Amino acid sequence: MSSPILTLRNVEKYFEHGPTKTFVLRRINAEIKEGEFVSIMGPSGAGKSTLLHLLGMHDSSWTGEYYLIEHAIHKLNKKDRMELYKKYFGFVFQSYHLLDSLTVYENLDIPLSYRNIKKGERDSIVCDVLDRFQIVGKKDLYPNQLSGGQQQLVAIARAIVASPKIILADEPTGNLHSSQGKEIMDLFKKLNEGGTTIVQVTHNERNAEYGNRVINIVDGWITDTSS
Amino acid sequence: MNALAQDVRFAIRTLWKTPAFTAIALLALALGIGANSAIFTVVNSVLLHPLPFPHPEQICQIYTARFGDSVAMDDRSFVEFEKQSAAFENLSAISGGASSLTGFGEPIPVHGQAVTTGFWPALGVNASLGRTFRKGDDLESVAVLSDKLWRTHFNADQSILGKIVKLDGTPRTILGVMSAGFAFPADAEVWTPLVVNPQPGAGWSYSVIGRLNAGVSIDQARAETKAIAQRLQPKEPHAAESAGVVSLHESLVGKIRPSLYVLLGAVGFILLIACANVANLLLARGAARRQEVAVRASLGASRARLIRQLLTESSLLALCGGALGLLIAFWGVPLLVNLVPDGMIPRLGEVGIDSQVLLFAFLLSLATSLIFGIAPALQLSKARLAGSLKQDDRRITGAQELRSVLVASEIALSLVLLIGAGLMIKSFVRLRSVNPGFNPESTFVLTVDLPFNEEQSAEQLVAYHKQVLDKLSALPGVNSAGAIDWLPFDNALARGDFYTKADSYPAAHLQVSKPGVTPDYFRAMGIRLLRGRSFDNGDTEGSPGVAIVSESVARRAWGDRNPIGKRVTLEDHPKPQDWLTVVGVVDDVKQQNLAEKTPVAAVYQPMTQVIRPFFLFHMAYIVRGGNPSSLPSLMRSRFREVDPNQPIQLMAPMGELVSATTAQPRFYSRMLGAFSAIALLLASLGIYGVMAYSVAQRTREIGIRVALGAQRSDIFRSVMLKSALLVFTGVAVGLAGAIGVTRVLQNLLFDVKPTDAATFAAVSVLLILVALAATYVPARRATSVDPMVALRYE
Repeated sequence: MSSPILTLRNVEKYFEHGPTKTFVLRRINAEIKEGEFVSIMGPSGAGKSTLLHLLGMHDSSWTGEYYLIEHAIHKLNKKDRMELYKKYFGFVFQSYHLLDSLTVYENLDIPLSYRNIKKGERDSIVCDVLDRFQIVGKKDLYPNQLSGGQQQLVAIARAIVASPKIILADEPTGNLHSSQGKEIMDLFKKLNEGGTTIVQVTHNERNAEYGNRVINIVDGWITDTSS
Repeated sequence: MNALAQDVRFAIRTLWKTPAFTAIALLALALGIGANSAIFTVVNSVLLHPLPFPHPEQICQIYTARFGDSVAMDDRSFVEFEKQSAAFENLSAISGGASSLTGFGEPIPVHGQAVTTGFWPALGVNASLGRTFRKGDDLESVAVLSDKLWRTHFNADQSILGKIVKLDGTPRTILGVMSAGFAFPADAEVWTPLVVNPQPGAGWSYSVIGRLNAGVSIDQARAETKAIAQRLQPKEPHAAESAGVVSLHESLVGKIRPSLYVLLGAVGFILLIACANVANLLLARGAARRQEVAVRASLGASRARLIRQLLTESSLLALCGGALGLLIAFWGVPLLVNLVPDGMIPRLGEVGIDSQVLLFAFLLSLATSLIFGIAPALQLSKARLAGSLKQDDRRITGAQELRSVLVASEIALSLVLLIGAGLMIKSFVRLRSVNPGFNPESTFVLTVDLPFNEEQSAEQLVAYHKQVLDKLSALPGVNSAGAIDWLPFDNALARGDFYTKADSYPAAHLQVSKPGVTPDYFRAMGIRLLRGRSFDNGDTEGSPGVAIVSESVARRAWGDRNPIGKRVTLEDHPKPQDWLTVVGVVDDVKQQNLAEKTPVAAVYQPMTQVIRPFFLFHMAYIVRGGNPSSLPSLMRSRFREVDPNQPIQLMAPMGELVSATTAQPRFYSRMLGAFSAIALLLASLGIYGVMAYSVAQRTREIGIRVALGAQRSDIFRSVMLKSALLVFTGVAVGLAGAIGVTRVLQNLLFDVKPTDAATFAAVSVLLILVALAATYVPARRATSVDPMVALRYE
């Protein structure tokens, strides 16, 4: 394994209600190396998704230190964070969150469009990804014309279309039945073997076995990290 | 460009997927943009377009005297200006011209204008067929027709040139026909030459126009005009102040400008209300799109990119609304033009939708998209990603406050419009209830303009009119019939001084109207005789001169003393036979419009004793009684028995002539009333939408309250109270705004202050009731929330 790609030091997140503070994450110290496949696990309300969204820079109200390779995220403004996010991350959601008014092709195209990639180059990349995921025949369909598993497949394709180094996945198989879920996890494994760092939130022990490390969180604390 | 095309494509799909939202938004925008485009069409054509003449900025109106809102120049000054002015290359005097055309088919009344030969070069126009008259022509015997008259009365006869017609009995050769659309001034149909020839003892006033010489500015022309005017009246220290030059465009449209801008402001309010409505709809829809926007942000969309996409959707909505609005304008402009009372708006014939209106609609649509789209776009694009993307997030965005502000704004704007309409309606009702001094009911009028003939004596004219009256009096059902040379509300009035018997002119001599009337005139018009007697058949040309004065004359001249038997004269230098004995006093009568604050005093003479024949060529015959449906045709045929070749200028119920003077306030009342009705509808929909959304958002909370024991009436009351707070806030802001804004209506109101408390109060109550009524359905819906369903809602 290589050097750390994500490092958290003493990261905390809380909500203030008058004089009291309600902590969602407490003194989080964690390191994820490049190429790892890490699962974040814990009971409901433990702070798993909060941690994942924090890593994905969807949440900016936290304290502590967060390093993405050598970039000190905690010192950056929103614009610079967004630039780094676009360069390094892809996100997969439990509810797929495909854009319903766009076709499969357009859903894959939109992240590239937001990265100001020219149309010709975008077309080439999207076609390549469609082919890679074997969904060329579905490129003109809308999300409501796809099954749950197909939608999540498209969502993963969308997450990797801009060639991110890191994929963050929030319960990626949570809304799928087991056979679909297995296909998705196999895909993640394959991506990880190709060099992509993957961090997933999961309740599912079997899904966690695809990874090489588990971070357990309970009541906002990391209780242990086990391989 | 590519990204923009992408955004447009997505915007079309997004709007297509929500047809109800799109339809309501398009309707609101179409109404707002359409109304604005329609009124702008009128403003553009009347106020902004230059006059349709070559170099119209060089054409001016020149005057040496002011009479209230009107300006004029007397004949002597005109002759001197023609000699002395270096600023103008062509000057022309204009006066009312021929009013009847005979000798070619049915005799008809016409709008004639008499103009000097400089008229055509001053305007820079030529005839499209034949030519116009010029110096050297036999000016007594030529005329030029308008294109409209040539087509309607002469069947567009190509051989019209050289034909002879009679205008006011004078044979005239047709020299030319003007181009289509030319009808200056005042919808003229025929132009005859005017020869300005000042005579001692008489003076005429004209409207004068001229074209500036090259290189001369209007300020320079004004300075020269004042200097010439002062030279012409060296003993009059204020002669220069009364003189001036104004661009012809300004003289035509200057008076109507404020009113048109009031209408434009009113429709601007409607557009703002429509924008607030659409913004509210977008905010409500934004709550449902929160997740989509968060996903786009998580995929790398910057806030600017998100805002751009959202504004693209708003722009598309606004442009489509604008296109529909233009359709409304295409349909509405002709309707609007038809509603405008005659003569109220100049250049009405030029009103039409052109490229400037299309550009206005386009730019307005874009501006509208910014107005209603920017707040929702900013609100939505700052959605918290983490909160929006989580599976189980239930938090509500902070858009509710913004929606409440928008609804309160709609209420405020609607209130201002409604108050404006209320003031105009109250003013109109007050005006309509003014007593004109006579009874116009069951009264019919027929007027004629006999051709001027110097050789006709007053006796001959009186005999003619008596013949007509005798025929009209004999009509079945007619109770009384009379005649007068200057009929009230007939757009013509002769005034002059009158003097009481004294060795020197008294300090308080009055300007009065001096109508000549037949004995039964007062009875036919329903004018009350207050003292003394009316004229009778004993008051002839040979009997002692008598007069009947109006009440204000009696009061001003003699105070409480009995005026019967007193002596008055209407002549500046009276001979003994010019003194008249007052035999009666009648009510004052409104002469020109119901809004006259000071009654125009009148000294009536029997028609048989009018010594100047000039005053007897224009005559109005009034009959009271008879069957209203058959009376007009009977009157026409009886008149024709006396004079088959004389055109009839006017035939109408007297009530119609009175109503015509209230046409302008009626028009403004209707327009503002219609605008405020639209505004009220939009505002009601706005408040309904906000309250319905608020109730839907509070379903869980309401369910919990009911489960904890709240009664339905408690729930109902809480929803109504929330709405009432919004409404009262809007009304308070609206009242403050109305106090400032309604001042612009000052000049349009009759006997009503712009801050009339009763109107403000009544309209506020009306709006509050309507707005609360709009809340009723959502409030009832809130009371029917089933706590079990609501608590399972999550």
